[in-house]
Amino acid sequence: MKLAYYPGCTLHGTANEYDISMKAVFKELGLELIEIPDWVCCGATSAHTTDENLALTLPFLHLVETEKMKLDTVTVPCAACFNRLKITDYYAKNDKEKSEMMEHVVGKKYKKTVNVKHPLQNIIDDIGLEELKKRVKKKLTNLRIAPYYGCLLLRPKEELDFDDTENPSIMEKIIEALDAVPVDFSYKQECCGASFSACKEEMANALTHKVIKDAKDNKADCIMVACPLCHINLDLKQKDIEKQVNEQLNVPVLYFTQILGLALGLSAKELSLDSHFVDTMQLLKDKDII
Amino acid sequence: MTSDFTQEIEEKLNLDTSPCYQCGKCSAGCPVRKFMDNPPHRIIHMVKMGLKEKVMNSSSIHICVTCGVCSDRCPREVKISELMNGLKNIAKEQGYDSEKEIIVFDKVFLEVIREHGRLFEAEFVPFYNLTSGHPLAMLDKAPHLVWHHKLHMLPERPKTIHDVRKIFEHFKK
Repeated sequence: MKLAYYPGCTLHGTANEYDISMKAVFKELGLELIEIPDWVCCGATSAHTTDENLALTLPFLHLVETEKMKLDTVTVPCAACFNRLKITDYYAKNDKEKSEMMEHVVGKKYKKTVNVKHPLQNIIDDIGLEELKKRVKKKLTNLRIAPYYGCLLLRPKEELDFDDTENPSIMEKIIEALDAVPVDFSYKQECCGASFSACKEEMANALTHKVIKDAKDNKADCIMVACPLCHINLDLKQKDIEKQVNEQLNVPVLYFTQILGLALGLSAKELSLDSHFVDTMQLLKDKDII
Repeated sequence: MTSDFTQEIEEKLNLDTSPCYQCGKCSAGCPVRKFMDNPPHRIIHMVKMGLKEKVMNSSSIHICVTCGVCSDRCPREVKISELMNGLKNIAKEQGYDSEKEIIVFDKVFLEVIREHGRLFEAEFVPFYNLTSGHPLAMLDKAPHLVWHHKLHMLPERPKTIHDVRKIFEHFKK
């Protein structure tokens, strides 16, 4: 099965381990990713906080390009990019005025044949939980994982049509399929502050602290994320947050593709597990996973 | 009677604030309410009352993280998150700048995208740090990022940059 692949800026930079593990896992599962040639930034999040029409039009280029590649699905691992591509597709399909505006500005036609999906949805739709269970080579038994969705995957509900916005469960289903333990915690769909960690640091740190602390209080061994902005705040900023709140956290934060890859028998190196700010390796050794 | 400001906002943003009955559910669920000068339900009321200057100078419209919880939970289906984001768009357009750092962040980010087509962090972070007056922010993270090939010294140059420039030019950004 072939899928158009839109990595987005962070997966080519600070979140390269998400890109690496995403490609390794999809290859292992037999899903072929074809990167959209010469893709550009989707504009998140500065474009939509500045001009909503600019924010709709930048992702529109990639819907048109996916059609040109004769593919019906574009897979978008970054939750911020997924959010913007999916919203653009929603308006292209449901708002004639906005659809015409976008076609006029870029000077290209969109036949509206593309599905925008997050890779979590590809796992469910294209592989299926029963098949995934059969493919597991290394069960992650006793690993307590806190599934963190954040906001960009879930809301706005109608436009994204992803999962229950108050109590999503797609990550839990995948965690259970790998024989690991999904940790129930109250902050799984709360915001981490996203890019505000750069321009409103104390505020974003306070939001992220609540997420990590709640996962830890509920005895999570690690947190699972599906968004590079969440990962930056939870992992890269974790030491800064510890200083701000004067409290030790030390909770490893893994991309869902890294956790999935471990269960599929891929090595820590193939999943770039040594590149995080908070060490992940000791936990995985203690749990006899690597 | 609806004020000119209320009408301007509702027409521009294609939404209706009139169903709001001030239950405050949006403010109760807002993760950044305590960092705002006016909670979301008060912003809606101020829009309905036509208090343009108060709304436009409020920190809340910039502080809003557009997480969407308010719109999701509103019992009257008022699109609060879209309203807050729309107000932020209009405030920037009309030169209201109560939260300068957030505004500078977005401005610098978009300038880098217009220039390169993709985010170029080795330019964006120092550029933003200098413009916002925090020259050393994030500097301690650089060695780790460079070591793990997460920070590139040269920008990626997509051939479709002309499409990006055309879009920015159209919206005069």
